[in-house]
Amino acid sequence: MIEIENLQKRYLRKHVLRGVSFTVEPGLITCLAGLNGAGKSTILKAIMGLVPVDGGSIRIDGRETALHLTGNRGQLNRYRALKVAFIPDRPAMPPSMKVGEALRFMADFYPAIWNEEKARDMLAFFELGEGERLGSLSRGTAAKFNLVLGLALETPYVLMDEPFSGIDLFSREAIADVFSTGWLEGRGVLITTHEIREVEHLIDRVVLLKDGVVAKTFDSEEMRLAENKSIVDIMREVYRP
Amino acid sequence: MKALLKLIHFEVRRFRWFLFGLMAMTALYQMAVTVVYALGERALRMPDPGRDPETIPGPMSVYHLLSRHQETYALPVLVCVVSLLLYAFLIWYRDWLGRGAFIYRLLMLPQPRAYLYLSKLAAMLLFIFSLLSLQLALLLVIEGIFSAIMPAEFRLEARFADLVAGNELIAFLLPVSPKVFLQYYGMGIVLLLAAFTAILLERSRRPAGIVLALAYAAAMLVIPFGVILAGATGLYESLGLYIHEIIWTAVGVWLAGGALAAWLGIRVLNKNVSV
Amino acid sequence: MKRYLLTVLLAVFALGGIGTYYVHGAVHPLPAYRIAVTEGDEALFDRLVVTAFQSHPSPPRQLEISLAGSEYEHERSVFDIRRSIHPLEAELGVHARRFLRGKWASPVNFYLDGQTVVYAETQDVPAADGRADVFVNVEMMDLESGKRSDFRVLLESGVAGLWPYVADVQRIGEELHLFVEYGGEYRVYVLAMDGRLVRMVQVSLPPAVLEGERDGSVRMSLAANHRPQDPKSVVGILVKIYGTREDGTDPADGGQEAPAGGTMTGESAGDLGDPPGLTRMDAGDGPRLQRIDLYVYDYAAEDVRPAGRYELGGSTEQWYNLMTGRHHVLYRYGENGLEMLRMSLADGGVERFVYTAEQLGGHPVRTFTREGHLYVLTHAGDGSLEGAGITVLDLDRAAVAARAVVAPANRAAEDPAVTLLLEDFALR
Repeated sequence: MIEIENLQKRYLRKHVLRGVSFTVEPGLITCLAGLNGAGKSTILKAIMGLVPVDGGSIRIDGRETALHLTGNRGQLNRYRALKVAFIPDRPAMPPSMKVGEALRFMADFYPAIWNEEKARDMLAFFELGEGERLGSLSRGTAAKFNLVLGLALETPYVLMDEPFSGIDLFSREAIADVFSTGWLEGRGVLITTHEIREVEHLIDRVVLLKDGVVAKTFDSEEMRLAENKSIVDIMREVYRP
Repeated sequence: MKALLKLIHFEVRRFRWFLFGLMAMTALYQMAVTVVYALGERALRMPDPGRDPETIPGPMSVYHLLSRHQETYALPVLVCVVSLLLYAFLIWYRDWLGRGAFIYRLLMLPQPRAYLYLSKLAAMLLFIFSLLSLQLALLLVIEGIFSAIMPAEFRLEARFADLVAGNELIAFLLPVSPKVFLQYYGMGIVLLLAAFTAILLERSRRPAGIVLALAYAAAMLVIPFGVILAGATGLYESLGLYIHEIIWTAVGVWLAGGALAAWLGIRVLNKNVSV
Repeated sequence: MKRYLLTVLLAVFALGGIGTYYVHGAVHPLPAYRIAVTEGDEALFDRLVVTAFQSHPSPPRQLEISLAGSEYEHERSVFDIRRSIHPLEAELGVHARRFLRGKWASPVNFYLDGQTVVYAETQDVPAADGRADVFVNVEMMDLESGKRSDFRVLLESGVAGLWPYVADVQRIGEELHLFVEYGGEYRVYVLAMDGRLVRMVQVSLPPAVLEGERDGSVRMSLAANHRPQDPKSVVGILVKIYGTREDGTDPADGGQEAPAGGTMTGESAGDLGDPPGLTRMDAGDGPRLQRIDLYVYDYAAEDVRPAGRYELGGSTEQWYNLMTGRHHVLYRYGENGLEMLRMSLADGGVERFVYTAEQLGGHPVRTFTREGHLYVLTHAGDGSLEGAGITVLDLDRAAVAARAVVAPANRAAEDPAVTLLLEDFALR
């Protein structure tokens, strides 16, 4: 389980996160939702150690990993990398790199958890060729390749930052299909997205961010059965009362 | 450890075309210039009934050829130096370019982040020393060209040490004594470490980061050089220090500065750096 | 491994190239030299360093040569810095280093008998109106116990534009006598050991001297002492008298032909013609030195008396001087050799000694005196090692005490095409 507790983050005068607390359960798909600029991306990056926070705790399977508390000492960088895979909204690879080279890069540096077979399966599923330069891929194709780089790592947790943003319809469908394949099986997924409707049926839990804190956390299935409300309904309640 | 070598290889690889370009440019330029000058010097000495024998110059060595054309030979070397100085910064900043930049990947790697710092340092040192080795090889080539063009009667012998001494910039970059080499490149490495750390400071806690970076850079320039310059003011005599004590203190300050830079840079990379 | 070929090759190229360069440099070093003592006590050359320029058809490089070998200036790094040693350190015993911290190296500020060392140095402290108060800082230490006492005494207040400095320190009984040069005058300040200024003695020379000083025909200076730190009874003052000869003739025109062969002579002082084997160096337009009178200030008697006279007959050359315990020596040198006039402090009698270039082993380039010895640096003038060396003369005996030559220390230095020009030398 990933436990976020009382996360604080300030950007100059803007107090973006004012004490965010929630959890990411293994085996479930959790959606972090909120308005633009709410700090969703920041939380994901904070979990991944890409951005330092000003306060709070981030525990992954019981071990504290927040930069400001641990100094990232010891094997913490490795612990975090083997536990969590991060899929940012752009492929974080040099544009001059070719698809095949990027895969070799991952294989090289993640020998313990890179699943070459899975990567090739996903490549075929997305119909991606190995010789293409990353810089010349369309946004949709790049997003798909991003998923490959993230999901072929055998980690118990996966973070996805806006996987559908700005992508054409068919690519979006292909990505959404990933959720039904076995590639996410048993993993705890934290996803941020605006396109709730695309994946509403896939999401297990929802965490709603408002004004720097968690406004509401709920199980989407329970909410639908108990109150007959969709996720979008709840969001409307929270954000436009 | 093996991952460190892989990272070094990665850094070398991504710069290789530019490095080869610098090498090719330096080699072609210096060789072409040598051919032109050597032909000219040979023409000057050719026996010619129309000329007053007093004006025909005597034999010369390749040292004279080099020392007469300081700026010409120094030019490509200067280009290399400036390029490497720029890349000392770009080697980091290129990872932050654009959104979703490559720095994400590097910071997320399972290896200790210190490897990022060390691999970039090692790559820079490889670039610097390989260009120095290239220049040494080129001096041999230049001597070969000179000997091929100039007939024996117009030629004087020169030691290899004189070849290096021929151009002031090259003589500075390749000192004769290994101890002097260690001294100046040691200082250079300390400054490189300081630059890396300043860059990492700038990349954390923005916008305050740039203030921190400048303050750190100022301290790293002022303190070690200040220790040396203060000697000129006679400060140490009034404090009753012997000269060797002053020198050894300065060396100590530099070493401490280097160690501090590396420690601080790696710490910032782990704890404070932000994408 | 094949994947990393690029980096491996680059590393091999980088380190191999530079490694080869330095190994080659070690195997084919630049010419090296050393000082080789051919006669006399090696200890006289112990801290001697000769500065020279070495060249081949290639850039001149400056180097320093000593008994241990040679070191090129451009090869000096911080790793070659040696422990700095004060020249008086050996004489001060166990507590030397602590006492000598931050003190000037000149021995004139020191007084050393077997038991104590005294160091005195003036200090100007700015006062009102751009004037200054002159203090003297005195530090004393017992050599055995290391016990120290320091004090500070005001010598003069409200002084304008003068730079008094201590030229000699003497301890007589329980009093310290400081010989101070004070804007062209000389004074002796007598201090009590508890830090009080007891009295000031004006060192007064005869009125004719002072008058000559005012119109520029007379110049005064202190005689250089061979061991200023030693206890001594007198301080020498040189009075140089300039002008043309009394009969109006120009001495340079009356020079005799140089006779063949140079020998050491014991002639008494007379008019200076060209000494045997030595031609006059510089008949320039400068003021002509007619004679130098030596006066001594006697610490015990606290007055000045004449000690002797050198007749120089209108010389325009540069004369150097040194006072030992028994003699005062005046000498000049040029390419052809060295001429020395030696006065006995007991009776004022002057003897003349001439050392030709042949006797010195080469053309004199530079000299300096240390502890009763005159060191002469000679060279052949053509850059070869012929005649490149040092001759040391014992001033009290007026004889050669030691000789050394600059010798090649490796094969590169034996190459006849290599030139070595000696520039200067000193005891470090």
